[in-house]
Amino acid sequence: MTRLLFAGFLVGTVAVILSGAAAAQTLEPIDVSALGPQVGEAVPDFALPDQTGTIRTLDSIMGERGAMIVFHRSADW
Amino acid sequence: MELHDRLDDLRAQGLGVAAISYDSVEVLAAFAERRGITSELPLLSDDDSAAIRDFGIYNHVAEAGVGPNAEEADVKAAVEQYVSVFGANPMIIGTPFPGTFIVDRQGRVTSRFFEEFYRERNTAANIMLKLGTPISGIAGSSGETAHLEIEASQSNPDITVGSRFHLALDITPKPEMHVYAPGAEELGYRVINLALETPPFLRLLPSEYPASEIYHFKPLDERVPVYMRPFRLIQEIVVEGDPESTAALAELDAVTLTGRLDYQACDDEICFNPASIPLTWTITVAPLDRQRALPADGQ
Repeated sequence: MTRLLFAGFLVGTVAVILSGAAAAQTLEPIDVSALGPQVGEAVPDFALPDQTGTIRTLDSIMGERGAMIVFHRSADW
Repeated sequence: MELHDRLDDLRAQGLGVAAISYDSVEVLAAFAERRGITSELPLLSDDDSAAIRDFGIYNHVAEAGVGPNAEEADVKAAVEQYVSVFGANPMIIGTPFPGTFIVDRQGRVTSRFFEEFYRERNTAANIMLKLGTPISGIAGSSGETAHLEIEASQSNPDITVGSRFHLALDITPKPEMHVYAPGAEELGYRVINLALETPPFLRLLPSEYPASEIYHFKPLDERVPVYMRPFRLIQEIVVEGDPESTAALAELDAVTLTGRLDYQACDDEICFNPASIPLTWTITVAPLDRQRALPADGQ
Protein backbone atom coordinates (compact mmCIF):
# COMPACT_ATOMS: atom_id res chain seq x y z
CA MET A 1 0.00 0.00 0.00
CA THR A 2 2.83 2.34 0.90
CA ARG A 3 4.50 1.53 -2.39
CA LEU A 4 1.31 2.22 -4.31
CA LEU A 5 0.90 5.57 -2.59
CA PHE A 6 4.50 6.42 -3.30
CA ALA A 7 4.04 5.48 -6.97
CA GLY A 8 0.98 7.70 -7.11
CA PHE A 9 2.94 10.55 -5.58
CA LEU A 10 5.67 10.08 -8.20
CA VAL A 11 3.18 10.11 -11.09
CA GLY A 12 1.66 13.25 -9.66
CA THR A 13 5.05 14.93 -9.41
CA VAL A 14 5.93 14.03 -12.98
CA ALA A 15 2.58 15.39 -14.17
CA VAL A 16 3.21 18.68 -12.36
CA ILE A 17 6.68 18.99 -13.87
CA LEU A 18 5.33 18.27 -17.33
CA SER A 19 2.53 20.80 -17.07
CA GLY A 20 5.06 23.30 -15.70
CA ALA A 21 7.19 22.75 -18.79
CA ALA A 22 4.17 23.16 -21.04
CA ALA A 23 3.24 26.45 -19.36
CA ALA A 24 6.74 27.89 -19.95
CA GLN A 25 6.61 26.94 -23.63
CA THR A 26 4.52 29.76 -25.11
CA LEU A 27 6.18 29.90 -28.49
CA GLU A 28 6.67 27.08 -30.96
CA PRO A 29 10.38 26.44 -31.55
CA ILE A 30 11.50 28.25 -34.70
CA ASP A 31 13.54 26.68 -37.46
CA VAL A 32 14.11 29.46 -39.98
CA SER A 33 15.53 27.02 -42.52
CA ALA A 34 12.17 25.20 -42.63
CA LEU A 35 10.12 28.35 -43.30
CA GLY A 36 8.94 29.26 -46.78
CA PRO A 37 9.50 27.51 -50.10
CA GLN A 38 12.29 24.95 -50.02
CA VAL A 39 14.73 24.10 -52.82
CA GLY A 40 12.75 22.71 -55.76
CA GLU A 41 9.49 24.35 -54.67
CA ALA A 42 7.95 27.31 -56.48
CA VAL A 43 7.73 30.69 -54.77
CA PRO A 44 4.35 32.45 -54.82
CA ASP A 45 3.75 35.16 -57.37
CA PHE A 46 3.44 38.74 -56.15
CA ALA A 47 2.37 42.14 -57.46
CA LEU A 48 3.93 44.94 -55.42
CA PRO A 49 4.75 48.59 -56.12
CA ASP A 50 8.43 49.54 -56.33
CA GLN A 51 9.98 52.79 -55.09
CA THR A 52 8.57 54.64 -58.11
CA GLY A 53 5.08 53.20 -57.65
CA THR A 54 5.36 50.82 -60.63
CA ILE A 55 3.79 47.42 -59.98
CA ARG A 56 6.32 44.61 -60.24
CA THR A 57 5.63 40.89 -60.38
CA LEU A 58 7.76 37.78 -60.21
CA ASP A 59 7.59 37.67 -64.00
CA SER A 60 8.59 41.30 -64.48
CA ILE A 61 11.70 41.11 -62.31
CA MET A 62 12.81 37.80 -63.83
CA GLY A 63 16.19 37.65 -65.61
CA GLU A 64 16.92 35.23 -68.41
CA ARG A 65 18.13 32.60 -65.95
CA GLY A 66 16.11 33.45 -62.85
CA ALA A 67 16.05 35.93 -60.03
CA MET A 68 17.32 36.79 -56.59
CA ILE A 69 14.53 37.76 -54.20
CA VAL A 70 15.76 39.41 -51.02
CA PHE A 71 13.55 39.96 -47.99
CA HIS A 72 14.68 42.82 -45.77
CA ARG A 73 13.30 43.84 -42.41
CA SER A 74 13.09 47.50 -43.36
CA ALA A 75 14.84 50.13 -45.40
CA ASP A 76 13.90 52.68 -42.79
CA TRP A 77 15.47 51.55 -39.52
CA MET B 1 23.66 49.53 -50.73
CA GLU B 2 25.66 46.42 -51.37
CA LEU B 3 22.95 44.71 -53.44
CA HIS B 4 22.83 47.74 -55.71
CA ASP B 5 26.60 47.56 -56.21
CA ARG B 6 26.22 43.96 -57.37
CA LEU B 7 23.58 44.57 -60.04
CA ASP B 8 26.06 44.22 -62.91
CA ASP B 9 27.37 40.94 -61.53
CA LEU B 10 23.82 39.64 -61.10
CA ARG B 11 22.84 40.72 -64.58
CA ALA B 12 25.92 39.06 -66.04
CA GLN B 13 24.60 35.85 -64.49
CA GLY B 14 21.17 36.37 -65.99
CA LEU B 15 19.61 36.99 -62.60
CA GLY B 16 16.91 39.57 -62.06
CA VAL B 17 16.53 40.98 -58.58
CA ALA B 18 13.95 42.39 -56.19
CA ALA B 19 14.19 43.50 -52.57
CA ILE B 20 10.97 43.18 -50.57
CA SER B 21 10.18 44.83 -47.24
CA TYR B 22 7.09 46.05 -45.39
CA ASP B 23 8.01 49.71 -45.95
CA SER B 24 5.62 52.03 -47.75
CA VAL B 25 6.36 53.28 -51.27
CA GLU B 26 7.15 56.70 -49.75
CA VAL B 27 9.71 55.27 -47.35
CA LEU B 28 11.31 53.25 -50.15
CA ALA B 29 11.37 56.26 -52.49
CA ALA B 30 13.13 58.32 -49.80
CA PHE B 31 15.57 55.51 -49.08
CA ALA B 32 16.33 55.07 -52.79
CA GLU B 33 16.96 58.76 -53.23
CA ARG B 34 19.13 58.97 -50.13
CA ARG B 35 21.27 56.04 -51.23
CA GLY B 36 21.29 56.68 -54.97
CA ILE B 37 19.38 53.49 -55.79
CA THR B 38 17.94 53.43 -59.29
CA SER B 39 14.78 51.60 -60.35
CA GLU B 40 17.05 48.93 -61.80
CA LEU B 41 16.96 47.59 -58.27
CA PRO B 42 13.24 47.35 -57.49
CA LEU B 43 12.58 47.97 -53.79
CA LEU B 44 9.14 46.48 -53.40
CA SER B 45 6.62 47.70 -50.86
CA ASP B 46 4.71 44.92 -49.11
CA ASP B 47 3.17 47.29 -46.61
CA ASP B 48 0.46 44.90 -45.41
CA SER B 49 2.98 42.01 -45.27
CA ALA B 50 0.76 39.97 -47.61
CA ALA B 51 3.60 38.75 -49.80
CA ILE B 52 5.73 38.10 -46.73
CA ARG B 53 2.93 35.88 -45.39
CA ASP B 54 2.46 34.21 -48.79
CA PHE B 55 6.11 33.31 -48.78
CA GLY B 56 5.65 31.81 -45.30
CA ILE B 57 8.40 33.86 -43.67
CA TYR B 58 6.34 36.29 -41.57
CA ASN B 59 8.12 36.96 -38.30
CA HIS B 60 5.45 36.18 -35.69
CA VAL B 61 7.98 36.58 -32.87
CA ALA B 62 7.68 40.36 -33.14
CA GLU B 63 4.01 40.09 -32.14
CA ALA B 64 4.70 37.62 -29.35
CA GLY B 65 7.28 40.07 -28.03
CA VAL B 66 4.63 42.68 -27.29
CA GLY B 67 1.84 40.19 -26.50
CA PRO B 68 0.53 38.76 -23.22
CA ASN B 69 3.40 36.25 -22.96
CA ALA B 70 6.12 38.83 -23.60
CA GLU B 71 7.75 38.17 -20.23
CA GLU B 72 8.06 34.40 -20.71
CA ALA B 73 11.64 33.23 -20.96
CA ASP B 74 11.22 31.48 -24.32
CA VAL B 75 9.54 34.53 -25.86
CA LYS B 76 12.30 36.79 -24.57
CA ALA B 77 14.97 34.50 -25.99
CA ALA B 78 13.21 34.33 -29.36
CA VAL B 79 12.84 38.12 -29.42
CA GLU B 80 16.54 38.54 -28.80
CA GLN B 81 17.38 36.12 -31.57
CA TYR B 82 14.80 37.03 -34.20
CA VAL B 83 13.53 40.53 -33.44
CA SER B 84 15.90 42.80 -31.58
CA VAL B 85 18.57 42.54 -28.94
CA PHE B 86 17.03 45.75 -27.58
CA GLY B 87 13.68 44.04 -26.98
CA ALA B 88 10.43 43.96 -28.89
CA ASN B 89 8.94 47.06 -30.45
CA PRO B 90 5.57 47.40 -32.22
CA MET B 91 7.43 48.97 -35.17
CA ILE B 92 8.96 45.59 -36.00
CA ILE B 93 5.60 43.82 -36.38
CA GLY B 94 5.00 42.95 -40.01
CA THR B 95 8.60 42.19 -40.90
CA PRO B 96 9.83 38.90 -42.35
CA PHE B 97 12.56 36.61 -41.16
CA PRO B 98 15.16 38.20 -43.44
CA GLY B 99 16.66 36.04 -46.13
CA THR B 100 17.22 35.46 -49.81
CA PHE B 101 15.72 33.08 -52.37
CA ILE B 102 17.38 32.32 -55.71
CA VAL B 103 14.82 31.04 -58.20
CA ASP B 104 15.02 29.69 -61.74
CA ARG B 105 12.99 30.97 -64.71
CA GLN B 106 10.00 28.92 -63.53
CA GLY B 107 10.13 30.48 -60.08
CA ARG B 108 11.42 27.33 -58.39
CA VAL B 109 13.87 27.80 -55.55
CA THR B 110 17.39 26.73 -56.50
CA SER B 111 18.96 27.94 -53.29
CA ARG B 112 18.01 29.94 -50.21
CA PHE B 113 19.92 31.79 -47.54
CA PHE B 114 18.39 32.46 -44.16
CA GLU B 115 20.19 33.13 -40.92
CA GLU B 116 19.34 32.01 -37.40
CA PHE B 117 20.21 35.42 -35.96
CA TYR B 118 18.36 38.40 -37.35
CA ARG B 119 21.40 40.63 -37.59
CA GLU B 120 23.49 38.26 -39.63
CA ARG B 121 22.95 38.58 -43.32
CA ASN B 122 24.73 37.16 -46.29
CA THR B 123 26.00 39.90 -48.54
CA ALA B 124 24.94 39.52 -52.17
CA ALA B 125 28.59 38.96 -53.03
CA ASN B 126 28.81 36.14 -50.53
CA ILE B 127 25.67 34.49 -51.87
CA MET B 128 27.04 34.68 -55.40
CA LEU B 129 30.24 33.11 -54.21
CA LYS B 130 28.27 30.24 -52.72
CA LEU B 131 26.41 29.82 -55.97
CA GLY B 132 29.78 29.43 -57.68
CA THR B 133 29.19 32.67 -59.54
CA PRO B 134 32.26 34.62 -60.56
CA ILE B 135 32.14 38.06 -59.04
CA SER B 136 34.29 41.08 -59.41
CA GLY B 137 36.15 40.99 -56.13
CA ILE B 138 37.67 44.09 -54.66
CA ALA B 139 41.32 43.88 -55.53
CA GLY B 140 43.65 43.79 -52.59
CA SER B 141 47.34 43.22 -52.28
CA SER B 142 49.18 40.84 -54.52
CA GLY B 143 52.53 39.27 -54.01
CA GLU B 144 54.96 36.69 -55.12
CA THR B 145 57.29 34.28 -53.40
CA ALA B 146 59.80 31.87 -54.84
CA HIS B 147 57.02 29.28 -54.99
CA LEU B 148 53.69 31.04 -55.44
CA GLU B 149 51.88 34.04 -56.85
CA ILE B 150 49.19 35.35 -54.58
CA GLU B 151 46.37 37.79 -55.12
CA ALA B 152 44.21 38.85 -52.23
CA SER B 153 40.70 40.19 -52.66
CA GLN B 154 37.57 40.71 -50.62
CA SER B 155 33.92 40.33 -51.50
CA ASN B 156 32.80 43.70 -50.19
CA PRO B 157 34.47 47.11 -49.94
CA ASP B 158 32.66 47.80 -46.70
CA ILE B 159 30.96 45.91 -43.92
CA THR B 160 28.46 46.68 -41.21
CA VAL B 161 26.81 44.95 -38.26
CA GLY B 162 25.73 41.47 -39.31
CA SER B 163 27.54 41.42 -42.67
CA ARG B 164 28.64 38.04 -43.83
CA PHE B 165 31.50 38.54 -46.26
CA HIS B 166 34.63 36.82 -47.40
CA LEU B 167 38.28 37.27 -48.09
CA ALA B 168 39.77 35.36 -50.98
CA LEU B 169 43.28 34.37 -51.92
CA ASP B 170 43.92 33.37 -55.51
CA ILE B 171 47.05 31.30 -55.47
CA THR B 172 49.05 30.16 -58.48
CA PRO B 173 51.85 27.68 -57.81
CA LYS B 174 54.90 28.37 -59.97
CA PRO B 175 55.87 25.77 -62.60
CA GLU B 176 56.59 22.30 -61.19
CA MET B 177 55.62 23.53 -57.73
CA HIS B 178 52.90 22.17 -55.47
CA VAL B 179 51.56 23.06 -52.05
CA TYR B 180 49.71 20.80 -49.64
CA ALA B 181 45.98 20.41 -49.33
CA PRO B 182 43.94 19.16 -46.33
CA GLY B 183 44.78 15.52 -45.66
CA ALA B 184 48.50 16.01 -46.31
CA GLU B 185 49.08 16.76 -42.62
CA GLU B 186 48.68 13.03 -41.95
CA LEU B 187 51.88 12.48 -43.91
CA GLY B 188 53.70 15.24 -42.06
CA TYR B 189 53.32 18.08 -44.58
CA ARG B 190 52.16 21.58 -43.73
CA VAL B 191 48.76 22.23 -45.28
CA ILE B 192 48.40 25.70 -46.78
CA ASN B 193 46.48 27.79 -44.26
CA LEU B 194 45.32 31.35 -43.83
CA ALA B 195 45.71 32.42 -40.19
CA LEU B 196 43.90 35.65 -39.38
CA GLU B 197 43.97 37.84 -36.32
CA THR B 198 40.51 39.22 -35.81
CA PRO B 199 38.93 41.62 -33.36
CA PRO B 200 36.23 40.13 -31.10
CA PHE B 201 33.38 41.54 -33.23
CA LEU B 202 34.36 39.34 -36.18
CA ARG B 203 33.70 35.61 -36.27
CA LEU B 204 35.69 33.42 -38.63
CA LEU B 205 33.94 30.49 -40.27
CA PRO B 206 36.02 27.45 -41.22
CA SER B 207 38.27 28.14 -44.24
CA GLU B 208 36.97 26.69 -47.48
CA TYR B 209 39.38 24.67 -49.57
CA PRO B 210 38.72 23.69 -53.17
CA ALA B 211 39.06 20.10 -54.35
CA SER B 212 42.69 19.00 -54.46
CA GLU B 213 44.52 16.50 -56.63
CA ILE B 214 46.74 13.60 -55.65
CA TYR B 215 50.45 13.93 -56.20
CA HIS B 216 52.45 10.72 -56.39
CA PHE B 217 55.89 11.23 -54.87
CA LYS B 218 57.68 8.24 -56.35
CA PRO B 219 60.85 8.12 -54.18
CA LEU B 220 58.68 7.45 -51.12
CA ASP B 221 55.72 6.02 -53.04
CA GLU B 222 53.57 8.60 -51.26
CA ARG B 223 50.24 9.83 -52.56
CA VAL B 224 49.55 13.26 -51.15
CA PRO B 225 46.67 15.71 -51.69
CA VAL B 226 48.12 18.88 -53.23
CA TYR B 227 47.36 21.97 -55.31
CA MET B 228 49.45 22.27 -58.45
CA ARG B 229 47.16 24.52 -60.49
CA PRO B 230 45.69 27.94 -59.66
CA PHE B 231 43.20 27.68 -56.81
CA ARG B 232 41.23 29.90 -54.47
CA LEU B 233 41.11 29.85 -50.69
CA ILE B 234 38.04 31.42 -49.16
CA GLN B 235 37.68 32.75 -45.64
CA GLU B 236 34.12 33.64 -44.69
CA ILE B 237 33.64 36.12 -41.88
CA VAL B 238 30.58 37.26 -39.96
CA VAL B 239 30.36 40.65 -38.29
CA GLU B 240 28.75 39.91 -34.92
CA GLY B 241 25.42 41.56 -34.20
CA ASP B 242 25.41 41.76 -30.40
CA PRO B 243 25.30 45.17 -28.69
CA GLU B 244 28.99 45.09 -27.64
CA SER B 245 30.08 44.43 -31.21
CA THR B 246 27.73 47.09 -32.54
CA ALA B 247 29.22 49.60 -30.12
CA ALA B 248 32.78 48.60 -30.99
CA LEU B 249 32.07 48.86 -34.70
CA ALA B 250 30.44 52.29 -34.32
CA GLU B 251 33.81 53.63 -33.13
CA LEU B 252 35.60 52.56 -36.29
CA ASP B 253 35.88 53.86 -39.84
CA ALA B 254 37.82 50.87 -41.06
CA VAL B 255 39.07 47.51 -39.91
CA THR B 256 42.48 46.22 -40.86
CA LEU B 257 42.75 42.47 -40.79
CA THR B 258 46.21 41.06 -40.60
CA GLY B 259 47.16 37.49 -41.05
CA ARG B 260 49.59 35.18 -42.67
CA LEU B 261 49.52 32.48 -45.25
CA ASP B 262 51.40 29.45 -44.00
CA TYR B 263 52.44 26.86 -46.54
CA GLN B 264 55.04 24.40 -47.58
CA ALA B 265 55.95 24.10 -51.26
CA CYS B 266 57.79 21.31 -53.00
CA ASP B 267 58.72 20.47 -56.54
CA ASP B 268 59.57 17.03 -57.86
CA GLU B 269 62.94 17.04 -56.14
CA ILE B 270 63.06 19.54 -53.32
CA CYS B 271 60.76 20.29 -50.43
CA PHE B 272 61.38 23.86 -49.39
CA ASN B 273 61.21 25.04 -45.80
CA PRO B 274 57.74 25.95 -44.55
CA ALA B 275 57.07 29.63 -45.27
CA SER B 276 54.75 32.36 -44.00
CA ILE B 277 53.63 35.44 -45.92
CA PRO B 278 52.12 38.39 -44.06
CA LEU B 279 48.81 39.63 -45.51
CA THR B 280 46.64 42.64 -44.84
CA TRP B 281 43.10 43.59 -45.76
CA THR B 282 41.55 46.94 -45.02
CA ILE B 283 37.78 47.05 -44.98
CA THR B 284 35.71 50.17 -44.55
CA VAL B 285 33.04 50.13 -41.84
CA ALA B 286 29.78 51.50 -43.20
CA PRO B 287 27.76 53.34 -40.58
CA LEU B 288 24.33 51.88 -39.88
CA ASP B 289 21.78 53.97 -41.76
CA ARG B 290 19.96 55.55 -38.84
CA GLN B 291 18.37 58.25 -40.91
CA ARG B 292 14.59 57.94 -41.08
CA ALA B 293 12.55 58.73 -44.15
CA LEU B 294 9.78 60.46 -42.23
CA PRO B 295 9.95 62.93 -39.36
CA ALA B 296 10.43 61.10 -36.07
CA ASP B 297 7.09 60.54 -34.39
CA GLY B 298 8.44 60.23 -30.88
CA GLN B 299 9.13 56.48 -31.01
